[in-house]
Amino acid sequence: MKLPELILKQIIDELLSLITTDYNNASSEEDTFLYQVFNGNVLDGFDFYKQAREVFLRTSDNPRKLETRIMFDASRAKLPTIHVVLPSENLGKNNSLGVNRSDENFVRSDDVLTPLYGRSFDIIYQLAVTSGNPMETILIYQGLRLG
Amino acid sequence: MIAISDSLEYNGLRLPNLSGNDLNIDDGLMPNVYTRALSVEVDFEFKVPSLIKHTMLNKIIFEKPETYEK
Repeated sequence: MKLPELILKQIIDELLSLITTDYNNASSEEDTFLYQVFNGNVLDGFDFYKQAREVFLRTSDNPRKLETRIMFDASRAKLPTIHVVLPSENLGKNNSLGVNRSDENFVRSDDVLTPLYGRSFDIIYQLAVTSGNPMETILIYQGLRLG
Repeated sequence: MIAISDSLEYNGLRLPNLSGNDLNIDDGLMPNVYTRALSVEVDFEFKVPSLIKHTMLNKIIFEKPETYEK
């Protein structure tokens, strides 16, 4: 079983990688995800599309490359970072009565049967976007939400 | 998260709901840090094996009692 935090982090990392791949492989700039999402949004000289290319296409050798962390990593709070935190988790709605035997009831190994139990949880993860620049925070938030 | 919502479902993070808000971190603790949070609410099922094992019944032996007389 893979832990949900790790699944979510992996999906976010793949999303960031997909944005880069989409931009690099597009036949024209107008076809890119970043162009379609951010182009035309300008506020007080801050061009969201121009800055989105700068933020999302940074490579690993750039110390300000957007990264993902499990839990809140205060040491990276001033850098563009997505922190996966867990504000709340409750028992889910799709549970049976009793001990909730899973639909795959047993694991069999030689002459030993191990019952499997299942419980669903209603989990709220917060993807906290931090940066030392407020416009950059908004930019990453929108890219993460729409991506 | 919207464009890749299928990936959430396929990986067991079911019925995703999105919402968002600004977070205000104490400026004394972390000055000049700007934070906004995207909340992702999902339904996830944990499946765990029991720590108590059961030995499986794999044969039945019939024995004739010694006192048995026809």
